[in-house]
Amino acid sequence: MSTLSLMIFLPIITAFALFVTKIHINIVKTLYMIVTGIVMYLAFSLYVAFDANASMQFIEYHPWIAEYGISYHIGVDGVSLGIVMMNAIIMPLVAIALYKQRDKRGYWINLLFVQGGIMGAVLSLDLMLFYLFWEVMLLPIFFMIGLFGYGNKHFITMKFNIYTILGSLMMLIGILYVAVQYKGQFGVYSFDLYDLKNVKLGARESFFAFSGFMLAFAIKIPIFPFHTWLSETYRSAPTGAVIVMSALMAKLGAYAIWRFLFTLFPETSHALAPYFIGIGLFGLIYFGISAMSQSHLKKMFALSSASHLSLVVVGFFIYDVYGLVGSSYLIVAHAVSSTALFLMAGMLFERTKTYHIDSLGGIAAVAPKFALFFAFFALSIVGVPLTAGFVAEVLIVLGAFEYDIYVGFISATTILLAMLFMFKMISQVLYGKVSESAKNFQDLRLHELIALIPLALLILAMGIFPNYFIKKIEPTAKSFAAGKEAVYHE
Amino acid sequence: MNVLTLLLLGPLVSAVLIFLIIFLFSKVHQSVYTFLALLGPGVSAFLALFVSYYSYFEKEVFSSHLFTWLHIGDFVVEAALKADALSAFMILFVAPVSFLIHIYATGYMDGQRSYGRFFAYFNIFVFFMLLLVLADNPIIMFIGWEGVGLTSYALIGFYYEEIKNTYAGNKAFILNRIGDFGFLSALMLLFLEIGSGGFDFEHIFYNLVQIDSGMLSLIAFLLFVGAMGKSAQIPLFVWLPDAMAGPTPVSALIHAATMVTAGVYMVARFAPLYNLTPDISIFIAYVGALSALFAAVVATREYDIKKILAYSTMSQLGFMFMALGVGAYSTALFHMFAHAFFKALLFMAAGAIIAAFHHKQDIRELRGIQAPVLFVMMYIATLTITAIPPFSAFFSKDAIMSALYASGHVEIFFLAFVASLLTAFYMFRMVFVLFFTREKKSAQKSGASMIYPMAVLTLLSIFAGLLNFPEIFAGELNISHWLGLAEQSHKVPHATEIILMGVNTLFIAGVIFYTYKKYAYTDAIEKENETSVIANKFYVDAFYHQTVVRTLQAFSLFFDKTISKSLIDDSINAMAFAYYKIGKIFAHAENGNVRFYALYILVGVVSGFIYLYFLLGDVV
Repeated sequence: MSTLSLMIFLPIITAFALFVTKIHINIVKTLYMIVTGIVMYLAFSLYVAFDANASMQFIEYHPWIAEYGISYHIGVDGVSLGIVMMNAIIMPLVAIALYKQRDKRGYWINLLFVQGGIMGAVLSLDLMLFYLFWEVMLLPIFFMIGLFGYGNKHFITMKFNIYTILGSLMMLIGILYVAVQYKGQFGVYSFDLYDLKNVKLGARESFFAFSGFMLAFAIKIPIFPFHTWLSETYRSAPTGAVIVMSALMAKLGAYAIWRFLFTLFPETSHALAPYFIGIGLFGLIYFGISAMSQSHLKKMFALSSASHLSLVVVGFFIYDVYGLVGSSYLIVAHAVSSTALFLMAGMLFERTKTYHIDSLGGIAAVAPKFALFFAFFALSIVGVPLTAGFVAEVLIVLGAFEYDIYVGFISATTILLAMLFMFKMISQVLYGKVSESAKNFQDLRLHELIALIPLALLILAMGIFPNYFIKKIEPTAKSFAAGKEAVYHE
Repeated sequence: MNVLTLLLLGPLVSAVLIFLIIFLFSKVHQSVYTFLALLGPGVSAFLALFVSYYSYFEKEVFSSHLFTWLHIGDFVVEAALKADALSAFMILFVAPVSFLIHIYATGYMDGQRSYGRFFAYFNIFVFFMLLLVLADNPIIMFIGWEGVGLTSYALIGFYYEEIKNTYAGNKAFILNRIGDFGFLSALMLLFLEIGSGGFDFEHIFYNLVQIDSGMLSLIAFLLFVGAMGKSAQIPLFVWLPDAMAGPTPVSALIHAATMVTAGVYMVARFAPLYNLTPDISIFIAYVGALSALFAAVVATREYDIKKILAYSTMSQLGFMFMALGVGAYSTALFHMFAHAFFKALLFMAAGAIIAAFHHKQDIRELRGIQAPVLFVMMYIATLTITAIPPFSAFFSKDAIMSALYASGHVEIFFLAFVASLLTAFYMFRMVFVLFFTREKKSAQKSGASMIYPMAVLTLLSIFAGLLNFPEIFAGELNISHWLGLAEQSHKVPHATEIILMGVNTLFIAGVIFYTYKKYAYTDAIEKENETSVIANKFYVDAFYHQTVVRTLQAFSLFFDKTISKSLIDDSINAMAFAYYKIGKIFAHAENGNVRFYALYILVGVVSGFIYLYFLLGDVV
């Protein structure tokens, strides 16, 4: 079995095995650590072996349901590599940070399951395979919110699921339509991405198929106006699920736009790009300003994520190397920062039993280490220099200016928007008089530090030496841009 | 190891080590922190003198290539340092003044709870400041630029137990970043225009001619927006007075001597660009003139000793921008050089007074303090800032005045003249109120680590003028020649210059005399009206709060509650519930009664027949 397949199926098979056997929670946790550790090791070896001069590589192809042209076709390129790495790095760190709080087997089994699902979805180059994994990664989140969530969790998880599945179904219709058209034009069925991109569709048909896919991705990311499930779901989801959703699944939605829509419907994507850039820029500002009036920490972070993801969408749709590299970089940078922030929000809740910004305060005086890390990660979302977000935002803004000067100016407001709410939140949570809830606040424990320090170092490394990381993305971006005839600036 | 690399990394290494010690050890003797805190800036200061020496005498250009920061297509950003004459001139005062203020701070912060944390931030600040002035391309410069803003944010809110202080820090960073928005946009446009020919300063200036004039003006304007934010000019100045919430060494180093002057440095650095855009240059001069006048007016009704100095800083920066605007770059830089010494000194003296007087800052409460050494130093610094000969600022400010006069913009000259008279008024008002009283209060003595750096700065305030001795006194304008910037020379005849100087000094002396009559040994200060428009800073802060902050909050609620919740989410839920209700209706049909099912079968069969009838009817 190849590295990629191992990374997909090791977690899934382990999760199944743990599900059917009833073993002690400590063994479950240990196995979780071992499996995610192996996946992380595999991911690192993949990163090292990844050829920085080539685009798609480590391709694996096996016919699966040959009759309908469905195959097991996976591979990794510069853009998906980032998400693969994040998926592999975040999962064990989440466990290290949370292992004391969570003593339900289901929690860890679901997390393992979702890791495999995400890995599969990122790596798939076959549309049926992609659809399968896309749905597979949804289920664990449904259970996690329903079983381990907070508040009105049953209603919220049901709503989230119905909403997401509605999108997925539209995508399935789109996939089937394209495959049938392929059969009509080439005489055989195929669900392979590289076959299907040769399908010729009329402008109307292409638009409808595009819309089906786009609805699924738009809900998942989410972009305006499909975002209303977001803040309530993030609020009631347990920390592990929130991290998976914000750091990985939302990014996967943006990635899928690039991977599938831009490949399958290049003309339509290009024709609709101005609208999606508009929606993205609107979302960037809309979510940023919405976040200002949030008093619930997780809801604020949810809207903050949405704001940045809108920028990622803009970066993809401007069809240019800077935009693409910037967006890919922002996907990774934001994944790291939001993982860390949601982890720390979870720690905060565990200690103070509240997520309400108004009832927090003065933590810096009692827990300086916590305050330092919390402020650092919050600032890394804002994109201060020497953090990864800064590099990504500069690149996207550069691409945006190249696309159009007004788009450039609006996207440059990204350096202002996150500050509007982040700084006030930092002041209210960390500074001022020590609040009632923070009186017995315990500073970071060793295992929490072990989880947070690598994330902090990664943010710094990506901010100080971006070239080392971006080298791996660049060939993909170049070959993509060359194909799209979006050239470098003359 | 390369000199510049060492110069830059010294403070960073210190900061990282201090952070590590704070993190790993709970109890460390304060002297460990002191040693580390002084080590980095000390090394930097020494090397800066070395670099400047060789730059000045040997015309040597130092450079250092660290690594390739980013390389995508044409977008090549090298993390490279270069000390040409301008950068060498900048580090000549930035690094030593930083070092002196660090020494001062070891005394000022002595025994405070977060001693180590303070110096970690303080050292990081020095690192970013050096990065800003040594960077060889504008992107790296921008990183330093944002970095100093960030550390300034952290240090303003240093006493975080009082949440207001952290809000002041937030305000500073947000306003700075509004400026950075302009700076970043300008850099992006600049890159798209000429970036493919190399994006270090040399290549940029070489290729400037390829840009058409409209775009060039836009870039120049946006760059200056960055400078407005950082150097606290109208309309982005409101953060600077609030920034005084930080510890006084921070005010001295960041909000007087170094960071706020970054805007001046940036405009001077882009001198070749501004020479091509005369409209924007004059705009800069106007902004500077208005800021100088505005700040000077507000300072006349200010009572907080640090805020008086803050407005004075803004006013002096306005003078520098006036000079930049008329193309007298080295004159502006020279004033900045002198300003770094006397303003740092004023702040340090103020800090010593505040520390000796139980951290009170209102000059009415501080009246009658007995501290002869501090008095002498503060008096010298005040004479310097009011441009009394032969102190350093006399030469620098006089050069600005004659450049303004020679440029032909009489209105700017007039504004500057009024502002300089007001400077004499508010500065001497402060000094006379503080020290010229009948009843005296004794104070604690300041420690040696605070006094000695101040003594050095006092000497520098007096003698720094010698470096750019003007031609009328048989000087050679050494700094101007060293910098060799593309100046637009506005020369006035020597006779005119002497008359200007004389009239100026005479008027200033008159103002000082008036101020003496009004404030020394009287209680005029107690009778001042605190509710006037001036005392309320022309309501600028209140105006911003009402318009910008309130509007944003209203929008936030509108977006979140009205659009997201009521409009979008409720209609999505309504759709789902409508589906549910339709399901309910169908559920009534499936009620378990056989007669109902019989009816359905009947209806089904009949409609089947009807369908068949019509279908077959056509055939038959």
